[in-house]
Amino acid sequence: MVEPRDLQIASASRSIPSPVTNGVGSGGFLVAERLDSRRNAALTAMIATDREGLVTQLDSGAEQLIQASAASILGRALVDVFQIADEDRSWFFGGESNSEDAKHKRFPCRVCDAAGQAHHASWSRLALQDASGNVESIVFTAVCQPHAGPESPAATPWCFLEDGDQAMAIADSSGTILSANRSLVDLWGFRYESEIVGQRFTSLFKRGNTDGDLNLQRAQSELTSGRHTAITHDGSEFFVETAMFGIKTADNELSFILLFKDLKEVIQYEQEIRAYTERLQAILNSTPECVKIVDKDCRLLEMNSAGLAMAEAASFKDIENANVLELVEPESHAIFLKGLSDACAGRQTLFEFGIIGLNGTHRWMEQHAVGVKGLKEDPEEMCMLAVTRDVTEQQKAKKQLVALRDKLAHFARLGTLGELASGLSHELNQPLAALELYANAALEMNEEQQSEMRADCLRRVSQQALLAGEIVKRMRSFVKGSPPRPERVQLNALVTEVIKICETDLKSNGVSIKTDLSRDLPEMEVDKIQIQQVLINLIRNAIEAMGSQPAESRLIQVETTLHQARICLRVKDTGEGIGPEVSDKLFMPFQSSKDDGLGMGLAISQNVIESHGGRIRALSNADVGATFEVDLPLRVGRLGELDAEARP
Amino acid sequence: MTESQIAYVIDDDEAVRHSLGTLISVLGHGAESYESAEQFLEDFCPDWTGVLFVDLRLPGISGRELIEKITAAGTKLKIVLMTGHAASDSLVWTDAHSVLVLEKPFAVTQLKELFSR
Repeated sequence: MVEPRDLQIASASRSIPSPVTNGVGSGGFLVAERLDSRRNAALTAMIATDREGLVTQLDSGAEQLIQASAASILGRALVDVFQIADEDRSWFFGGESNSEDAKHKRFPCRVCDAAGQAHHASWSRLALQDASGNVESIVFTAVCQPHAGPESPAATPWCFLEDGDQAMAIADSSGTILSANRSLVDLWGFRYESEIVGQRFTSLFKRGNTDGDLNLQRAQSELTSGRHTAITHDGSEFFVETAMFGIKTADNELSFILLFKDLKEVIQYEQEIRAYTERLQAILNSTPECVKIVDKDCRLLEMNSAGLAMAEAASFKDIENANVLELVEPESHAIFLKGLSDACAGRQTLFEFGIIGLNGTHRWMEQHAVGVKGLKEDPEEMCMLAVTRDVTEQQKAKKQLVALRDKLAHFARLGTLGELASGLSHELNQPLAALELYANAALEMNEEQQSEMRADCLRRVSQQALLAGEIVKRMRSFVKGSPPRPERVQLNALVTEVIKICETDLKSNGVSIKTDLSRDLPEMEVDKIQIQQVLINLIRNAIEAMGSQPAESRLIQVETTLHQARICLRVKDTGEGIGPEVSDKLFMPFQSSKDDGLGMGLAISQNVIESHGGRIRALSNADVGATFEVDLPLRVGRLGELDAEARP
Repeated sequence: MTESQIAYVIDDDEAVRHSLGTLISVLGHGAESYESAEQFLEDFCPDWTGVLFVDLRLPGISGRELIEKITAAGTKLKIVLMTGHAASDSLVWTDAHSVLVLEKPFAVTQLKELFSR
C-alpha cells in the first residue's frame, strides 16, 4: 500500500474522493428510502429444467415465488408454471442461451404465481453441458419482488439496484445476502446472482479482512466505509471500497445496504502517484545537494538523502519534525532565521551558513530558498523549500586565497620597500647629517662661546638621533608583514604617517601634497598595516601618474570625510587621468603601465579594502587627473575574511 | 685663521639647514639660510662671494636647476651640491659646472678646507 508519508509530496493525492460514499449521498439513500416504503428484499428463485424446459429441480425461493409446492411443479413446463407471456417464451427456449452475451444478460419478464398475482422478475439462464458438449439441463434464476404489483415495476428497489452501475447488495440483519445486482455479480466474477444470494456477505472478502469496518453492529447506526480486499469467484483478490448502512423497513425489520466500488482505477491512480513520487524522490535523492522543506517554525518536513548525509542522520525519522536550528551553528542562527522568514514571505533568498552534523562535523553551506504553499493543513501557509550546497571546500580554498593574498601583500610590501630604499637612505641621511653637523659644531666651539649654545647643539643631536631611530622603527613595522589584526586607529593619523613615509618619494618627483582631513573622524577598526599599504599604493600610483606632467602642476590632494557610519578617503592627482581602455582592468593583478613593478598594487589594495567591507573605485576628474576613492565602514561587520583563520 | 666668509645654505630640511648654519658660524663665518631655491633667487646678486651649499633635492626648482641658473648669471660663489649619494651622471655634470659634491653626512674637515681655499 501507499505509505501516507509518500503521499505528502504530491499534494494532489491528499484527498482521493471516496467513490462509494459520494454515491451514497445521491443513490444510496434513495435506495434506502424506497426499500423502506416497500418492504421486502428481492426474492431469488432457482429452477432447473431439462433441455425440453420441463422442471427437474427447484429451490424454496421458487416455491415461494410460485406460491405452490415443489411436488406440484416438478415435471411441468417452466413457461407454463410461471405463465410466461407468449412473446417472452422464445428467450426461455433460446438456442443462443449459452452464448457469452446471453450468460450475462438478464431478461426482464413478468411472471404469475399460482394465485394469479403478477410479479416483475429478472431472469438469467445457464445451460449445463455434458462431457460431449450436449446440453444436459438449464438452470434459470429469477429475481423478483414477490408482492410488487406489475403496475409499478420501475418503483421497486430491485429495479433501481439492477439499473445502477454501482455494485450493490442487500443483506438481512444477520449479514446474509438477500440480493445483489448485476454489477456486483460481474465484479466478483460470478455468473448468477444465485451464487451469492444466501451467502454471508463476509464471504465476498478475504478472510481476516472482515473486522473493523465490516462491522454490522456499527453499520446499524451509521454509515461505515473502508477499503477491503475482496475475493472473486475464482479466488483472485482485488480492492474494493465498501460502504454499508442499516435501514429499518416499515415492519421494523433491519436490513443492510452494501455498496461497493471497484478500486482498480483508484489503486491505479494511487500507483501512478506512487510511481511519480518514487521517481521524484529518486531524482531528489540522486542530487548531491541537500533538498529540504522547513516550515516557518523551523520544523523539518522533508529532506532528501544528500541532506541526511550532511546532517549525519541515519534516516529521515531521526530528524523528522526536528527543529532545524539544532543542526545550524549558533553563529549562523540569525542569518538562517532571516533567510527562512524571507523565503516564507515569498522572497527568493541566497545565503551561507554553518551546520553541525549529528556527529559533530562542521560544514559550510550555501542555500538557495524559495517559499512554497500547500504543504501544511492551512494551504496558504508558506514553507521554505531550500536547496543547499556544501561549500566547505570552497570556503577552505577561499581561506587559502586570503592567506595567499596576505603573503602576496607581504611580498608586495617588500617590493615597495626595495623601491623606496634609495629614498629611505636619503631620509635617514637627513637626521644623520644634521646630527653630525651639530656634534661638530659643539666640538668646534671655543671657550668663549656660551655653554647655552653648546647645550642647544647637544639637545639637537639627541633629537636627530631619536628621529633617525623613529624612521628605522617605522620601516621595520611596515616590512614585518604580521598577520592581519584589526585595531582601533584614527585614519587621519594613518594618512599623516604615510605621507611621512612617502615624503622623499614625493620630493624627488617634485610632487607637492595637500591634505584636507575631516576633524570629525572617529576611530575605526581596521588592520593598520594593510590600510597603510593601500595608502602608500595610492600615493605612489598618483606620483607615477603625474610623471609626464610639468613639475609645478604635480599635486596630490588627500581628503577624508565622514558619511554616517562610513569614512571616505580620496586621493586625487593631476596626472593623465584614466583612459577607458584601462579603467576596466585597473584593479586586476599584473596590470601595470610601468616597465618595472608587478602591477599588484591596486589589485592588493582592492582585496584589502573589500575584506574590510569597503569599496575602492577610480574616477576620472572633471578637470584633470584621477581620483581614487576608498569607502570604509567604521566597523567591519563580520570582519570580512580577516577573521577567517579564527573559524573552526 | 682664514678670512671670514659668507655661506648661503639652501635645504628644505630644517635640521640640516640649522645644524649646518650653526657649525659654519662656530667656524667663524656668516651663514644665511633658505628653505627653497625660489627664496634664494629672490635675494641673489651675481656679485656675491662666499660659499653656496645647496641640496640636490628641493621641492620646486631643484638644486641642479638653481646651479644652472646662477652659473648662467655668472656667479662668483663657490658651489657645493649636497646629496645623499653621488650618482655617476651627476659627477660628470658637476665637473662641467665646477661644482663640488658633498655626500651627506660630511666631515667638518671638508668644510674647513672649503673655506680655506
